[in-house]
Amino acid sequence: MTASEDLGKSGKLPKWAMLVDTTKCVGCLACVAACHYQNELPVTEYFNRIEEQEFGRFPYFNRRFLPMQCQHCDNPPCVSVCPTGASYKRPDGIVAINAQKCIGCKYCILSCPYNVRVISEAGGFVHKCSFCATLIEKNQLPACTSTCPTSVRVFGDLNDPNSEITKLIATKKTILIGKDLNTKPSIYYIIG
Amino acid sequence: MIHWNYLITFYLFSAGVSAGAMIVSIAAGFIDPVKYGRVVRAGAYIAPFPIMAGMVGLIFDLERPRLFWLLLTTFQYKSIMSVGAWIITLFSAISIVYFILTLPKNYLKLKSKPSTLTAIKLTGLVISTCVALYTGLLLSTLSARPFWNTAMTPVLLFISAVIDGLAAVSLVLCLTPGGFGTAYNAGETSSDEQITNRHIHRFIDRVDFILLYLLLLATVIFLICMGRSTQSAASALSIVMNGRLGLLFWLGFVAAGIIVPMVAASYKLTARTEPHMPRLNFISSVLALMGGYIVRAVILDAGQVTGAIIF
Repeated sequence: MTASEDLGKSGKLPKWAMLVDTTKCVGCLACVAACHYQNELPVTEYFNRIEEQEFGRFPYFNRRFLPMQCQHCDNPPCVSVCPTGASYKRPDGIVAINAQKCIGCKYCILSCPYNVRVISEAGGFVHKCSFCATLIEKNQLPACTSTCPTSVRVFGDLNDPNSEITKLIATKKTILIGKDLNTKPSIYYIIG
Repeated sequence: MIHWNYLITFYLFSAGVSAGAMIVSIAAGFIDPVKYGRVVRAGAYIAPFPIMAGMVGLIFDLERPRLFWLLLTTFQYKSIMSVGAWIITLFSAISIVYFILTLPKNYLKLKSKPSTLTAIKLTGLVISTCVALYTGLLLSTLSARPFWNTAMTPVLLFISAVIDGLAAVSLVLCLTPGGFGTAYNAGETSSDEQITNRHIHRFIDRVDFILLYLLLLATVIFLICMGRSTQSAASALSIVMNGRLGLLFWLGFVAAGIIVPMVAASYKLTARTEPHMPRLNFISSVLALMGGYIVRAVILDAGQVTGAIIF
């Protein structure tokens, strides 16, 4: 499946989302490297990282690799706190940053519970995962998704009832990280 | 990771001092402009300036200081920082107007109707209250930072701001020629100046004592609620209670910033003969100001150590 198959099928604007199946993740960090390469990041700046977390309570618990990046929230705290309007929510669901308007106050970094916003050492603005918006425009998948050797990630359009991601979310048990903070994230996790 | 450092602490502190001095000055003027004339003038002369220095600090904390003017090209009503930038701009304007109007009459030949002056004072009171509240709301509205995200944070910082404003006024009164005046000894006949200074003395001590008591209360409530909150709130709290920031918090803020000035004020208020202690006033004011800076440094630091989601 590619992004192009999703686009337009629902007849309305896409609502991009990602599904991360942590039961398949081996923590190889290929997505982290691909992200660095795609976004031409210096080694100290990450848009995508892998956390390890325990779920459940003994004896019914497991420990999972948890790929963590911008959750492209539908109620993004980083957008509402931005004093200049540099952070904004695109109609297709992507939380984006207009670097020209960013003054580097770092309020958005502090407002983000996922800790995924970073200061660009070179530019002085805040940047982060954009769901590889430039690749989506070219009908390609985000770099982390296409790179993953174990197919952990599924990227697609939630507005298309026939997309793979919509079907998976409808049938599998997924969780949203930090759901109680009312951020309404767009990345769904299968913990298993 | 610490994103907001001492520059932001200084900014929050200086905004608090400015707003507090303005509140104290206008309130004292409403209570008795003749008796507390020196308090009114000292507050009015202080108010515009600390916040200017704080703004310089804020601008240099930005990653792109040259683009700071973008703050004033837009109004984002959902962003406390954007609203705050406009409130502070308004505050700067009105505190300068108030400063000029409070100057000795012969200095600037400006005349205003009493009703205009009252309107300016009332607006000034509202806006300085907004500034003093804004510094706390800036932090308390972030759900990602459990140590800040309590309703007590803005209350605590507001009370602290008024105390700092009063301490700055008291400090200026100590340092200006005439200071708290010559000693007034029981039994001697007092001059008019001595009587006025005694009134001011009592006024500052009374208000200071009540505010310090409220600050202590706010601090205790803040700590208790934080201790009964989430895991990440508790881990931030442990840094403040007995960790890296423990000494600073207990000695610098609670002991030096609240208890010592409170004991000093209550001693002066309850002593049988009203003691004349300009040095104690000076020390109390400096300690209260230091405490105000320290509590902001501690809250700012501890809030950034933990996030709502523990990774």
